[in-house]
Amino acid sequence: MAGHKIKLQSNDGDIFDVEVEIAKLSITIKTMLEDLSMNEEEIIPLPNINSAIFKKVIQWTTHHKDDPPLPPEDDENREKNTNDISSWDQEFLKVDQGTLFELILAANYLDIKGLLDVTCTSVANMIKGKTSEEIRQTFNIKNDFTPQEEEQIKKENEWCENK
Amino acid sequence: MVPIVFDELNVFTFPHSRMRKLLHCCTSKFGHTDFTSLNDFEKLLIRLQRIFKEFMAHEEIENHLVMKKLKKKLKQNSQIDDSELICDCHKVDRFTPLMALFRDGYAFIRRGNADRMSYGVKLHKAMNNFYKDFVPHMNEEENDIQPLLSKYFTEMEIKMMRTQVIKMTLQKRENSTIDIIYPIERPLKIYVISYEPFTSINSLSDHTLQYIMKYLNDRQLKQSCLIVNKQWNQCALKVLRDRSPISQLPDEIFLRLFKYYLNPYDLFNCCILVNKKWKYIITDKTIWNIVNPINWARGQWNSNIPLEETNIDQHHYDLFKTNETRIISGFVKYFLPEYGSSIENLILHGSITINDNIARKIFDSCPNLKHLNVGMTKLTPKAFLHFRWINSLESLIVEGCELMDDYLFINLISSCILLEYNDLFIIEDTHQCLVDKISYEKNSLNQLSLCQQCSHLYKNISNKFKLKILNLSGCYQITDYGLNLLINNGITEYLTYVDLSGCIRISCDCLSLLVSSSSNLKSERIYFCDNISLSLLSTANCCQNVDNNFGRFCCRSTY
Repeated sequence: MAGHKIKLQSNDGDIFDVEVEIAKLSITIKTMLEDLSMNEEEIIPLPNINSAIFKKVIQWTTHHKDDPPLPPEDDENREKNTNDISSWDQEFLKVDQGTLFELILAANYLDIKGLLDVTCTSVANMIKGKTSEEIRQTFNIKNDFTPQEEEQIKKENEWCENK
Repeated sequence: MVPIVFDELNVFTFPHSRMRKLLHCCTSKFGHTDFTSLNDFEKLLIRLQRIFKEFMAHEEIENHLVMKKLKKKLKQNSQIDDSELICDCHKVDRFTPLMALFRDGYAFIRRGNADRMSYGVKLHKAMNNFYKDFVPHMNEEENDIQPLLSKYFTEMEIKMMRTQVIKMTLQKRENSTIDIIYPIERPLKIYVISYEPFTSINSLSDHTLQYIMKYLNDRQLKQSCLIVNKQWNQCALKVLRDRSPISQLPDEIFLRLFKYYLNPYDLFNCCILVNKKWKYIITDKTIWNIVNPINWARGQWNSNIPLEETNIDQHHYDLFKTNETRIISGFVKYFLPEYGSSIENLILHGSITINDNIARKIFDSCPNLKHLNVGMTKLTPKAFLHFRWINSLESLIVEGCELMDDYLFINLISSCILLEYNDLFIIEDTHQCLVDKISYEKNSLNQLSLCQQCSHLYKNISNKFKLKILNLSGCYQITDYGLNLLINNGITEYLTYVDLSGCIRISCDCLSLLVSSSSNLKSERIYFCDNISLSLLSTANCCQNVDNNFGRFCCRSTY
């Protein structure tokens, strides 16, 4: 049923009318709708997501609603994900770190593989090619190693440096 | 730190205790300022300006709320002696020159160190003078003006005056210095003490609370603020998150990142050094289920799928060789002791340096090994002497290992028997056990078999094996003896995939025996040389090596 809508409520109380087809891109919501056979008028609460983030999620899913489904994760032969991020997604992900990580959490909670994939790739790209000190600076992480420990870890891992 | 004396009738004590604190801050700050550091210097100037704005505001409040009223009262009563005192007290403008000095200071930011130092000295002097002047001024107010107030005003009036002064002082502070005063003082404690009588800490807004918490360190936030109450918990969480947004991600997301989006090179070269949490997550065994150190040596960190390379020139070959030697020695020395037990799928496909000894060392460090790919290597059956994990092995790929012969199976089976026997045999690397000696002899029927002594053991071994996938493609030295050994010992029972392409010495009979003994083996999953014609296997796939042999032996190719 095209255009059919359901109501979803973010944790700060806002209610969103979302097309079923778009909402179902979230496996979590899909399962909820199917397993609980929820009433149309019933409001589905999303206790882990605030309005600002949910708006972003809807924006993403609306744009990607016709994407082919991603293949299931295959541990055996899976190559590391180095997919390029489409220009629309790049634009979409021009947000501060806090928002980016909240999007990851939302995608994880709602089980939207595509969004999780693109946000994780984005974070991975922030990590790749940086030194550990640059990573710490990028994410404001405290170094809790002692200089001795750091030296030891460096020594243990220098075998895989590119030469 | 002087706690506030709650003196209901003293107009000056409250604002003055604050001013004293500020004074103290100014002077103590001086000691900590490195005038050669631009950052410190600018910070100091900003601080001083803000603090002095509060001083000025304070004087204004006193002028407005206390002195004016007092003057008025005195005029009414025409007490000339006393009014002189007041004029003296508040007419001096202490602040304009100081504020000008602070403003000048900004010009020094871009000057040399020496200039800044001399400015520092100047500033210090000016501050000392201010200190010498302002403290007595406050004392004067408390000691001389206060009695006047008590003399001319009623108790009720003073109380009201006092409340007004405090209200205004707090307001000014909130507006102008909230962002500067907390970092100077140890925030929370002083904030609470100086506010307690008037503002309950429970009525602080989230915003203010977060503001204060920003100046606490992670440990203080986690150990105390998080567990005070709900509001504090949420504020502290918010502050922690803002401080390092990535810290809100749970371990499972980190694991996902490390496993699917970053490669071992990223992990070992930088991520592992970030902090203890990252290092801990990297040791998670699911990341290291599958490893292919040969790809790492080729610079292929993103994929575990073996590379098939045909035409490697000498230059690249040498480069690969040095890289591989370095990577494999690090792999054995550092990686395996830490992560070896995580490995379930080990791929050494295409290695040009690994020999039997190194291979055995590697195998020994992988107790949870289930899938092993040593295809396209120079390994011989000796690599599988005392292969300890034979019982859990599910797939074995030795395709293209031309040095493999029937001893591969002998070694696998004797490994299994040795496991049953006892560990003493396994520890000995010289492999001089009884089983070994006898099993290497061919019996009169020209068939390989294990010794009589061990027969009772090898009867049991079939149910120990879980081998499902066996790829012997291109191992042309393997004969019916080896395969029969597998069949006779029931090792083929679980097989679901067998590749015997290019094994030209395998006979039709032996193959049909294999098919009949392996109940799970479907004919589409069997590959073999096309010198065998077997009606039984009309649906089988024949030789895989003809079109795409990548250097594997094939009876039809021009190899």
